[in-house]
Amino acid sequence: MIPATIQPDPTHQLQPRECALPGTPLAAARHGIDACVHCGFCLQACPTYLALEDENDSPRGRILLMRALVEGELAPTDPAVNKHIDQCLGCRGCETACPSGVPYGHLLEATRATLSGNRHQVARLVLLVFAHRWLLRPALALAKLFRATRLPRLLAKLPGNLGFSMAMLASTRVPLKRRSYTPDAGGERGTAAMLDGCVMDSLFAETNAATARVLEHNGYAMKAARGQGCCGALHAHAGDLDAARKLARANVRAFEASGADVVAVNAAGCGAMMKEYGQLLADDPEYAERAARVSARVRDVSELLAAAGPRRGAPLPMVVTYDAPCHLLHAQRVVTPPMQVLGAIPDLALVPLADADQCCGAAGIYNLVEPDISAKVLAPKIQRIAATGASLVATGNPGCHMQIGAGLRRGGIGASSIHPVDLLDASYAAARGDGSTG
Amino acid sequence: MSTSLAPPQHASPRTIPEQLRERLASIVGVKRVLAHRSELFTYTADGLPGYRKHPALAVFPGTRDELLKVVRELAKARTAFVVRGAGTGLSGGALAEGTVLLGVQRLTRVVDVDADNRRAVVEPGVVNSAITRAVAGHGLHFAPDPSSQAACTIGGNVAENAGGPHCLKYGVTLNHVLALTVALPDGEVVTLGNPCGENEGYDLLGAFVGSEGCFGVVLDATIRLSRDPQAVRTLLADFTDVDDAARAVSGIVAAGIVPAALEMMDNATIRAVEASVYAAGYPADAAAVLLVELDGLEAGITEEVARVDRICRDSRARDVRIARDANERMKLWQGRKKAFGAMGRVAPHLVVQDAVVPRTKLPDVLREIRAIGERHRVRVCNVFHAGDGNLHPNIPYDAANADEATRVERAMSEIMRACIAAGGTITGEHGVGLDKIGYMDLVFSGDSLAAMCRLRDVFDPERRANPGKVVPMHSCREWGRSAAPASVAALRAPLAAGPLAEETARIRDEIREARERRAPVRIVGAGTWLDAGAPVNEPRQLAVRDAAIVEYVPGDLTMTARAGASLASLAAAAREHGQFLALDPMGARAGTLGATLATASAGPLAHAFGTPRDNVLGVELVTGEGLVARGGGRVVKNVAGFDLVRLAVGAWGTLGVITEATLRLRALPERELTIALALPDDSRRLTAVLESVRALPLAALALEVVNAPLAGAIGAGERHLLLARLGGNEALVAAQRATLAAIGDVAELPSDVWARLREAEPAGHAVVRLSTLPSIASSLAAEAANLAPETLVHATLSRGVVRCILPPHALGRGFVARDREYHGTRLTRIWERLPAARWRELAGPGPSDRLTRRTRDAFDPDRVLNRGILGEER
Repeated sequence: MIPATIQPDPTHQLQPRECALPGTPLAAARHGIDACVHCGFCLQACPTYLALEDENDSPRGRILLMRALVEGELAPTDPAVNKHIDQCLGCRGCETACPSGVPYGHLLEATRATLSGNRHQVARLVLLVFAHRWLLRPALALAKLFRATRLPRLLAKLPGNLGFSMAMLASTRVPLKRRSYTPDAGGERGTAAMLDGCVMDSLFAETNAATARVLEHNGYAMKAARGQGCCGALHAHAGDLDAARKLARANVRAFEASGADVVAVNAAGCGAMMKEYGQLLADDPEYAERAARVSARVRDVSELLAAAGPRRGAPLPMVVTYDAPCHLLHAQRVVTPPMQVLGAIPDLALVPLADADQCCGAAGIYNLVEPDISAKVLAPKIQRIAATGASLVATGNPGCHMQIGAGLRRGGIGASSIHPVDLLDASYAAARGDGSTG
Repeated sequence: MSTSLAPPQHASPRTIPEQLRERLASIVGVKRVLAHRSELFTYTADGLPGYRKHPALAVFPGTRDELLKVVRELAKARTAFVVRGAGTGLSGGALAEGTVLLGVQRLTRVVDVDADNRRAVVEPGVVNSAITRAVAGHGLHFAPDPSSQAACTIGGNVAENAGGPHCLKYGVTLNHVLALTVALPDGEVVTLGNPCGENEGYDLLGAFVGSEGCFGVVLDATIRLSRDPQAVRTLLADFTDVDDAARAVSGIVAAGIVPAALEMMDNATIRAVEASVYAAGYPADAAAVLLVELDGLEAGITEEVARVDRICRDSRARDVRIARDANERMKLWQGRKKAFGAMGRVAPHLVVQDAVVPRTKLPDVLREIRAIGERHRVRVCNVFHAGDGNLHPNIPYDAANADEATRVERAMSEIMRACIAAGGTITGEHGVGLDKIGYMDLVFSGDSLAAMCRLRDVFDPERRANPGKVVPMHSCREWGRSAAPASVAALRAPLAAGPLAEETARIRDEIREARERRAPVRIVGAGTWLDAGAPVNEPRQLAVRDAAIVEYVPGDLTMTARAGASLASLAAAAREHGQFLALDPMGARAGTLGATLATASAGPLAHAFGTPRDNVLGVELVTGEGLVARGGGRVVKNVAGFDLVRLAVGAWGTLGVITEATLRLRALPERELTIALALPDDSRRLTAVLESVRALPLAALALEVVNAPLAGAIGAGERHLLLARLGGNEALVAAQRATLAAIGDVAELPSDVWARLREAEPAGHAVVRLSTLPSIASSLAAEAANLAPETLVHATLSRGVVRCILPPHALGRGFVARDREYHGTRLTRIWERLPAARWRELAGPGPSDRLTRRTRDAFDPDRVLNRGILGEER
């Protein structure tokens, strides 16, 4: 694991310095800002810099703005500062390019928490819904009902944000016909409790079911974790750290109570968040240690499968490419396990995707809040996917799934997005002779 | 003439007039002009975080057209500006204080890739590594590889003359730029260099590369692409003592091995890298590691690896390992290239230096740097290009600690002085910018700085481009050149300067006298090439006689000699130490160094080693104004100040008299072999064979086509031949011989055939050099070879140069003498010798563009040196 707060060289005594925003999350994160030596190696790793071509919209530029805030050079109310901090996707692609180990994601959250008075209207509404299960459940259920009609597919052709939203919804249907099968349930690899998630639990319920099946088939005994809820990632990324902590505490309790050896997560953004619970609750005397213990047990589903082999299934002769979710690649640094998952499927031709390490522009709710920039970031992704000639793009995060799926649909590219686990599940089903690959 | 300019009155306001802002916005769009303090904050820093300078305005054009319009608008408003690429520079060069920041990062088009001729045209905002990505499919790459290559732009590379680890073998940006389209600060668009042939006139391209944004704005660059090596081996040698590592570096160089890269990292650096995402598996307890890369043809590389391995172990390396695959190799390199960024782990601030010392001084200087660090209680992390002697002592510190900041500053200043005192210079690849401007006086005399100011004024007389950088203002105070330059020199005493050589003083006095008496002189060395160039009929001669070798340190592979020395005498001195000078111009071997450089004469060795501009490290030049200027230095890598070296080389003495030069030497190969490949007579078949030769995997020292009459004249038979000079270890030479033997009859020739080739010119013949794209040169050479009996022709195809030695009856024929184009491409024609009576008819006047005239005016205002030799109006 990567320490999110950088420790300065112990031999080097830092001088105490003036801070214009004492007591704020940003002030507490200042060591991270100091780690930036301004080398600029992050520039080409930043999707918003590439799309907007202004260094204010680059990691180095934003860090300089953060520095200006703590040094009092610029005010927290400065519209330009807020704009460029808001325009960050939070993909953390810069972290895997940064030689100095600047904990950029952490700095961004701290900055957004410090500037939280200035949050976007749409963002406020979405965060409110996700923070309350009694609001979220009906909303997602409605969306699922609506998806069952043909309307989203028709409306996806509409121009603008509405059409894009419809295309996103339409893309959540798993593009494989399949029947269920009974997995071997040996349980020899220990117990696992799954994070059901919010969107995953409703729009991607089939993928959740598939996740449970492939894990069981690979030797994990599944346990329930009652009382779990939203992971809090959207809130943390938006700087609403209090709401995020509240959700995190609930999940810590739920997964502690499950008694499972590992926490299995099939949504990269949620997994990244849960792996950082220890840090999020570091200042909470009651929860700090408990959260750290839970975080240490969190695994992406692909990590669990890779650790198990995974077992090979029946051939699926299709051309697939893989796009790495930023929160799997850059935040969790999980690089090869998803390939190992796909590699367990005979006859599946995995074609490399150029710039697979670049963000697709989904970034949680970013595509709702900043649709124009999101579309700019998405465009090259869709071009590169089209260039592979693949009919399926595997990606293990619902946000990326819907964003790419919508982009492909609206771009008229004959390809769909799919979770890698769905492919593996179909392969296992085929091996039992009671499934088909449609 | 612009000699009576008043001191610059350009606007350098803290606020830009609203009108200008609006006009700029109308060109690039409102969103691409930043004027608010908070939006500009990001642009207050570049890659060197110690400085913050606030621009008054920032403008970001998106196309070449917009860029040019912006430059013209700024010219109209007489507003100063600073060009910025990705802002990764390490000398504060792209900082704008109260002026306009002109960002070119949006100009990212790769305009054209010509894989056949191995060149590409790119816009200035193209990222260095993006070029290589764009051409990788052709098996090509862009050789300069600064550590910031994943972010830095080609415009910045050109401005700084960027280097990188692999420039040890492949040269710096200067050696890989063929031409530039430039917008001068006044808005005029000029082409520097020649994208499809040899440069004509002054080497203004050479002067521009490394001018740190002070000469103008690059609109596009035609760059040279290099073939990917057949084989690459990367070694990591691990030492428990820094001295041992430094000794291994000297050992490798002394053994005549030219690694593609030879890098050193000390323990502090290793640990910072190993803590980062770029952890490469360097041994954390090593005092130093060497990263050695060998590349080239597959043949012979195993033997070369074994030699390096042995040298490292003999120098007490604890372990030497070889990267097993491309992935491991990439990891080893990523660690090295991101080492600078990784320093952020150690402390919040960082000073980065870039001094260069002669290789043989490395152990001493490293010890001294360590002592300085200890004395000032600062931690110096060394990560550097050991093969070039290019040091990067980095000191991480905390700027909030005033005491520590002061100690760091003192330590840095002492390190700089130590490097200069060791015969080095202050910057090898980062540039002077703002950061090192205070050290310029330590390296250069007042005359040298004044000459650099003259050069700047050729391009930017208003001094609006990147004001306040590179050359300290006080050295430019004699505006209008009325002040006596000599008096300025006396005020400052650079650390490295000794007394003037006797002959330099005499030449300076003679030039001053010539100016006073308005009595032009003809510069004369050995007197063997007096019929070269346009006729000069001056009764007064200025003799360059001093033939001394001033300094020769074989371990550094550098030699400093007076200009009157013959190339033969220098070659003999080098040979005694198993080294050679890669200059073999056509003509008598008695020809002098000064004449070779002044005329930029090259021979067959230019195929592998480039022309004189690529082999000269420094010159002493007495300008036509009487300034005694030194450009460059005695180290192999140097970007301190504006480039007087490239300016002097090839100027035919019209800007100044070259009195001394420092040259780069090469180690003689273990084995050398000259092979003649028989070529067909028929032009069409000849073209086809030459084309196939161009694609062969060869690493020849020279590859020269010689037509039948010339072959006869040098005693090599009566057929067209390809002469190949092969060098390297036994296996490498044998493999190349076999490659050539596979396409035709080959015969071994004695090596003195090369000397005979140089001297094969019959008296009274005219000589013309034709040049074009390499892809057309085969056909041009084939056609020229069969032109007329007694016409001697030889060609270096890789350079696209065909040289014709013409008997009187062949003079004036079609493409040799007159055609402007050949196969649809401009044909460049440079006359070396021509009967005086026919000069005007065939050669015409020399280049007479505005920059050429201004250059002459700046350095020889009274036209006292070699008047008329360029064919110019007298």
